[in-house]
Amino acid sequence: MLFGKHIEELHRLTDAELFARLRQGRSEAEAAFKELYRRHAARVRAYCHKVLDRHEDADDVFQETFIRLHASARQERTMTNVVGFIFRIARNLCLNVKRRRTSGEPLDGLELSEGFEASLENGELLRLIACAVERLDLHLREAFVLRDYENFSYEEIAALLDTTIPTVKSRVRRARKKVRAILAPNISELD
Amino acid sequence: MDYDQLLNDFLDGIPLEYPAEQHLFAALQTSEQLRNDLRGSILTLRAATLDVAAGAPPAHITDNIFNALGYDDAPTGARRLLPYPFGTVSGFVAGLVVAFFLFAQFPARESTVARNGLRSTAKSGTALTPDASSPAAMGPHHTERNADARGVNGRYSPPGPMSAHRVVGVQNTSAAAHGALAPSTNERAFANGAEVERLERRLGAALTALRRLRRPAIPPASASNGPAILAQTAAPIDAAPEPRSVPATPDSVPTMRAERAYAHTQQPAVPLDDPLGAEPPRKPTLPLSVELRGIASTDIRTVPSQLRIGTVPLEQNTSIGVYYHVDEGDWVGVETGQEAYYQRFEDRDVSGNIIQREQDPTLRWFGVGYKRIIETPTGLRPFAHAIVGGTLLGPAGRIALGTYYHINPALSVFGSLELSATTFVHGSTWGASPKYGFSYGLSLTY
Repeated sequence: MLFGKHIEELHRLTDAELFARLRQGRSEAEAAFKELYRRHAARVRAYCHKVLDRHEDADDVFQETFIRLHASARQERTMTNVVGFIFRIARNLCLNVKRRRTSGEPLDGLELSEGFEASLENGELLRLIACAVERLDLHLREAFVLRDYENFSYEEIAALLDTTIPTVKSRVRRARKKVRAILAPNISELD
Repeated sequence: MDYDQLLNDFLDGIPLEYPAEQHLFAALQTSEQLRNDLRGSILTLRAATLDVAAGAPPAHITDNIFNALGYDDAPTGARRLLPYPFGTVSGFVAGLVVAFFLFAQFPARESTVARNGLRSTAKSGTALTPDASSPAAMGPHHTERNADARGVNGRYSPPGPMSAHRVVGVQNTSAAAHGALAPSTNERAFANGAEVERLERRLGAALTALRRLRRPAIPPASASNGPAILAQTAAPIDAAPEPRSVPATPDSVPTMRAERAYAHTQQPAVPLDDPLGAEPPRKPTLPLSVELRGIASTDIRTVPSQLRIGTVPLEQNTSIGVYYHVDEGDWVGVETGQEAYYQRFEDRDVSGNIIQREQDPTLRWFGVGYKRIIETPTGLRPFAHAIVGGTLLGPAGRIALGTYYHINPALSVFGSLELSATTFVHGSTWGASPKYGFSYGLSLTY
């Protein structure tokens, strides 16, 4: 079938090739953008939701990230790490939001957004872990989310956060330890 | 031994040296704290995986992004078969078609209006010409529809180029002579006339043009038939045509029909208790029907919908079709609708592991349909219905067994049990989304 081949062709392209197609004609750009969105939207949104406390802000940043990704394709540049580029956009936007909210948000009443909880059986576990992640400092939270949620390698995280690999490893380790400590009172009840 | 470091390496998938692994396992046996740490870490990783998998953006967010970029919404990896505005345009066209057919489904009401308008002028003692204030004066199509629906003395008259004005006028002269209707009814009739006029103005010139498509064509005036055409279109209602004033040529057929229609008026009048006469079986003037269908189908595996493709909320779980009457009981047509279809397929997560994914995207389907309707003496008309077509993702089909219930010659309601299925492809693997359910709706025949 024609559309089956079309899908397979898109699936075979690398992120860099798809990004390059964003500068082509409208139909090619649209197809490429859709494929990039399909591949990375869930991860980027999860990152935004984990890094930002307010889910309204997270969804705003998520939308802005993909709009900026599309806009950035107009500039002539060779992109080798599109995922890193997307997450860098998302991270910068998240930091901007964080800076605007320097007073910080109260940690009480943290809620999982719709879609993160309703469709999962492990709602209670997710809620606990989300609260634990929310209580991490930003630099620990970023490293933890990128490693355990987004499955980035330490090298990729180091590049994304502009730091060294040992620093990232240390942050991830400390973050895991803190999350475990927060979960500890309830860990025996969870399975 | 730094068990925390070993735990981190384990979680990162770094192979442990044999002695370190032994130490870790030994410590896990003896230390409940370490076991809880490991359990907590594993649960966290599992939850993180679930969290990311469940983080698919809601449809409205996806819509926002794609609308901001001027793109279609909701990517699913499938190519659209039709351009984006189709859903909107189809909705508009469907609405226009439905409005046209709905408007055209009021023949009895309009004929009453026209008749009463004429009769009213008769009671006032003026000539039986269409009152300028009555809907009958709006144009020839009103009286044509009147003749179409009722004919002469309640008989069905196929549409033709006869003098509809005259037929109606004479018929109602007869009714008026018997005082069949009270003035109050006339007032209501005029109120209805005003309503019809208002409706028509609202629907505008487009509907008028559509309606004219089914008006009988009046042959162009010529030396031979000019007087006949004038007699049909301009002569006063009570002015009988000049007999044999036109030679019996094909061009004079309209005049002859008018004469035959006039002759009918000499037959016994319509009974007073039923001035319209019995409703004759109405044959469709156009062999078309429009069907609006509501769909209540389900799949036991349905999951909450997270994806939408070209969704128009008002059209969710509905369809609209236009069918052409090919032969006795046989109808063919086209139909389009919008429903959610469950999909389950294998995919790979960010770690490359094979996982099962489920989604319930809303899909618009299109198809060509065939319908076999069995006529019965009762109001019920069983039917079998099949549609073959496709969605944006692949071929689709639908079969249904049900029955119509005949409310009036133009309107039926129906219900049916149905099976439907769509197909989709993910990578190179095809899947199917079967559903079963019940559909119900209206059928407007014109």
